[in-house]
Amino acid sequence: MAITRRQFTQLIGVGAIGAAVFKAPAAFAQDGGTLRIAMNTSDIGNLDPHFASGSQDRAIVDMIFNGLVRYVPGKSDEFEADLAEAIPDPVTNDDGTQSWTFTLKSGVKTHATDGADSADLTVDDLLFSFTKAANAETSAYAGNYAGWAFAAGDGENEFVVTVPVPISTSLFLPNVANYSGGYVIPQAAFEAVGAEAFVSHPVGTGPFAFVAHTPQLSVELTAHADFFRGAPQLAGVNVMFQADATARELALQAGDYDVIYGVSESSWAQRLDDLDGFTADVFGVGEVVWLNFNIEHDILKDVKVREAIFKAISRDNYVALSGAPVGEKVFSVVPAFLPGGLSEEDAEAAGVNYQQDIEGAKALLAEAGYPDGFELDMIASEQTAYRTTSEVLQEELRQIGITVNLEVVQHATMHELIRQDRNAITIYIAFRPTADIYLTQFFSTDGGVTNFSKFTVNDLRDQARGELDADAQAELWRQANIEILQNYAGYGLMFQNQVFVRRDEVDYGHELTAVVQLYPGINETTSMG
Amino acid sequence: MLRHILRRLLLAIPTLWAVVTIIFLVVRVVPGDPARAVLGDYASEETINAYREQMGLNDSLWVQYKNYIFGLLQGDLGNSLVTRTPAWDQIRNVLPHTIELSIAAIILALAVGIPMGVISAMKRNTTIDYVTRVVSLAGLSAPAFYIGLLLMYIFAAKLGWFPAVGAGDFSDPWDNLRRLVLPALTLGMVETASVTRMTRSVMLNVLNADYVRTARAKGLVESRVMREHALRSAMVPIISLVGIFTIGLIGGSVLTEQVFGRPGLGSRLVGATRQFDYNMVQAIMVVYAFIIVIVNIIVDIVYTYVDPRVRNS
Repeated sequence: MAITRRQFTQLIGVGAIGAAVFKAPAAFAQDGGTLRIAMNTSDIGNLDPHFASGSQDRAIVDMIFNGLVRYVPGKSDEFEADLAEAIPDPVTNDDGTQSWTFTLKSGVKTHATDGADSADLTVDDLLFSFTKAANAETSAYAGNYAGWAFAAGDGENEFVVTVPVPISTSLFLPNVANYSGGYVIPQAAFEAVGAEAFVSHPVGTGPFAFVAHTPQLSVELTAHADFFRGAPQLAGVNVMFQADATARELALQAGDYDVIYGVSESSWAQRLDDLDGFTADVFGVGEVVWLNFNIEHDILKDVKVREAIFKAISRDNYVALSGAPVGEKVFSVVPAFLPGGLSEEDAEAAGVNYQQDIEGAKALLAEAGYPDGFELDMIASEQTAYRTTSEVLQEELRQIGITVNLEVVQHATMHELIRQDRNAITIYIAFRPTADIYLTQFFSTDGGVTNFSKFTVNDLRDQARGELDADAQAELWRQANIEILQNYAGYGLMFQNQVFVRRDEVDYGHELTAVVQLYPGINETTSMG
Repeated sequence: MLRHILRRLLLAIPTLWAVVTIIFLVVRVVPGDPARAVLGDYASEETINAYREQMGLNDSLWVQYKNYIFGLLQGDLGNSLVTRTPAWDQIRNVLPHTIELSIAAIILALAVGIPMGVISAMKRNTTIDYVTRVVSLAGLSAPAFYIGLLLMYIFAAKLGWFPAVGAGDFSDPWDNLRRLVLPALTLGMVETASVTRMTRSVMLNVLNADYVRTARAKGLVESRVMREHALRSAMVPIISLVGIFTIGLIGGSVLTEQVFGRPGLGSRLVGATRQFDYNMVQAIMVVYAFIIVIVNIIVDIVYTYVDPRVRNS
């Protein structure tokens, strides 16, 4: 068949367009040194670090802000100086208060933003930031700073934090570290942006500076060249939002992402790890899953009923939801990886390592006057971890004759309803950085509506707060945990480690043991080969 | 025509008011506290109360409604309870992506669906007809998210021809187009199936009409009979269908948007609902209602050009 010159030219044209369109994944390959991390959400929540609570928000603010001290990258139990020159020793004052005097490093530059040029961070900024963090109207973490006072010190760049009674380093440092209220917000930048806009336009001093937020798509960060520990190796970070796990996985394989938030299942993590060119990281800190038993509930106020329910439970069933090593057992509400948590041996020695015993549970229920069991209503969240935990509990209790009527609601609705005492047994899943916070929020009168069990360990908690020796303090926390278990008020089931998958070229720049900010930890040392 | 459009716009006012009022009440009926959703489970009751006070959530329902309606009358859709930025700013950012995706899907549906429907009708009860019907039925039956993931797996993860996720920047049309292909195919496939079946059905009726038989009897060539007599007549119900599709696509592209990580009005609405962002939900619903009114007016106008009976009346 003959072909005319015109037809030939058209063919060449079509071929060229086709080649351009279908050419090569190279056109989608990562652009230079910008790391793209996909989080399991559809958008940001609140990027004011003193309000940030969602995992995507915590990850973003961690890259933008600093604390006076910081968790050693990749670890959740060691601190080192960050904005401060060093971690000071506390001084007990004549009036019984305790002061910590920090010296702010010189030459820490704030990010530039409209209306506020980059400037040296000052003690006034520290005063502003901590005062904001301690105010319930401007911070969700104000409760951590109750009674604390902040002032400029006598020396140059000195900043003094005074707490009402002496507390241990382990209780003090998390509140001045790179977590929640401890993140330092530069005053001029905050005022230039405005409190309302700061929620989606944060300005700090960290290795990466905020550039733009594209709703439902991404938050773009750029390297802060004047970062005080040195310019970041990455050109920037794009935090991208993709709520669908399968789509995240496919986009990672397609080269659209460099790091993705994974699925909390060991088999999934192993499958991704087996793929060429990808590594699945399973690391702490885990979110603890535990049960709170309302000891004032009409039926559950009988200790035999609560004991029966304890005997119906097997931690293995809950760990199986994720599989090891993503899921691990815990033996108290405070996990063993925090000081004050019970290990299996601790629980065994204290006689509170309860085992599943269905027949024993039935006998106890009969003794309590419920030989045929009873019905319980339970509000459950639609979120997978909550829903599956509820379903396992429902099945375990069915075996001893207790019918659990589950009502699955939106997550925020669940939080609202459980604070109205709608559940006799409340499932809670959370990470808190210290045993004190777990005990205060959930097992003390200070917890208010989150004291779901109505059981309190105020005395032991207070004794531990006043204990300056770390070992003795941890022992008091352990005693509090044992008391909770002995009274069948709280039952630690498991914790779920974090799972992230990265391209092999991504090097976080640190070991990955546990990160309290709930992501792998990206800083100036992170690079891509 | 102008008078007709003005009348439609005036009639839209009570519709919009009813929509706004119903949505205002409905979002507040669902148990849940926006303050808790926004501030997280760590926040103390004191912080929650302070936030509620700041955002006017402690005001009575009537005061909240009055403030909202007054704001709306001044063109203020309110601020998002989550980001505290104007709701319209967020809608303005995502709306072009939704419109772009919807238009691409409709073009695909019309470009493929109408010819397929016509051919299927012309070749009734032949292999082509059977294949078209089975394929269109499959297109209707397959969930959009499944088609999306399948396309992503083949064309992004395995072949690497297109980006898997994201929406392109409008300042970079080439990148934008590449990122549009898979979502538009996903959404377009389902709509193509509907258009094919609708076109076939309408064409079968038209092909048996007297005027088509007359046209053939006059000796017109088949292509002209189809183009000028059959298809033109069949276009009237198809235009109605396109109008309904357009409205449905703008709201119903949620799954496609979520699978491909694209911003959009539908997925923004879902996100706002989950976060109890009352103001955002209300603002999006107002925009939806407005879009529905506009699309209906456009369909009316197109009708007048396509259907002489409407034009002459």
